[in-house]
Amino acid sequence: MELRDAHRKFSEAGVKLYAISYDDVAALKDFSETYGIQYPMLSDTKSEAIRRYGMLNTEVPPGDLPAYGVPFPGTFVTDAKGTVVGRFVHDSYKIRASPEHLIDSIRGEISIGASAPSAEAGDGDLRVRAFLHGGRGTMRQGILRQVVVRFEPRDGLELIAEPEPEPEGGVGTSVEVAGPPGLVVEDPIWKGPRDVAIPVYAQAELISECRPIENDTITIQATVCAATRDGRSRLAPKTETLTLDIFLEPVDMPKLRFHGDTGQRRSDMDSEPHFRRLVVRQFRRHPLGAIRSLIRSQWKQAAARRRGA
Amino acid sequence: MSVTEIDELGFEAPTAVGLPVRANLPKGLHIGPEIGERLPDFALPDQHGAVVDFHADRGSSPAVVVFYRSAVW
Repeated sequence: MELRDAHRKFSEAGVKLYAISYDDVAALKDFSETYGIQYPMLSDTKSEAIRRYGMLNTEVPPGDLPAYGVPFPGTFVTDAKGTVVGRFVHDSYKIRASPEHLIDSIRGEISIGASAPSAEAGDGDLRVRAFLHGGRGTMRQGILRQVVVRFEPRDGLELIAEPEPEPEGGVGTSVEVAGPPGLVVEDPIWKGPRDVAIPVYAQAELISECRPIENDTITIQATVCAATRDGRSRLAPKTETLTLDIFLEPVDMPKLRFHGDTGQRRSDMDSEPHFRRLVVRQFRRHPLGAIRSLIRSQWKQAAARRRGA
Repeated sequence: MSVTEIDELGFEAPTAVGLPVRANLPKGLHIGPEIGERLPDFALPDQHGAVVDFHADRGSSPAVVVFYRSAVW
């Protein structure tokens, strides 16, 4: 629902939002009404646009129930002329960018919401602030957030981001982020002379659709070692540790018998009738492929149970 | 009795790893339009049944196009 909640930010930035899936219009209508979606949810039941964009998930054999025709998830950002300026495609279908990062990529700057979790440290020479940027500032399964660290040196002081070449030599500014097991921390990305973003996301060890969350808060620590220069002379590096207390959100699960009940957040929309129509659609187009996929599915599930999954 | 398995990227789901529904992007595969390319056009019905012509509808605004698997499952 973060895309829905961020829609206002997209509108304010003058950016049009489109979502494409292989669902039929009736399913999208139900979803859109249930959740009050204000942007177009486009129905690509034959996966034509999905194919034209080169996004068809080619790992799924024809007729495979239910997944034949789905795209690899991905988001493309264009400028005013319709030219791609940003691509967000990830290894896992569960990893997605926060909507705020999409807006940042268009505006060319990081815009952090007022309610983002934050921490502050430092002194009169250098203040350092850390935020968890993206969505509601919570961690959700697979959704990329950014730990954004902002440096505010006093007038006359300059932050040295990159290590300096010889003969002066000297370290740059480093930021390390640590969290509990299951928090994946990616490499820092400098987004300006005083802003650095460290992408993070939650894997199964932290949040999983298969089990209820035990402890719904975690701490994420950013340890910063800042190099600064006053005119021509380097100051001694400053180390600060900033701690963010972050909530974990359960996974949004569709209301489908198949998913059982694992303590996640249940959708308000009943997916059963839409899922039935989807199965009929797939069967009609590729009856043999559909039957093969049912057999394959039973076989693989049984094998998984044997290995104790 | 239901299956739960963690895949090679550390994500868990109630289905066996190796089923197509859990297929991740093959390593090294680069998909979709590249930076600098014009996004392909499309004309698809929206949730109200009205056909949306992408570039015409977009006009002269920047846009974000999100491909996702399903609103149903």
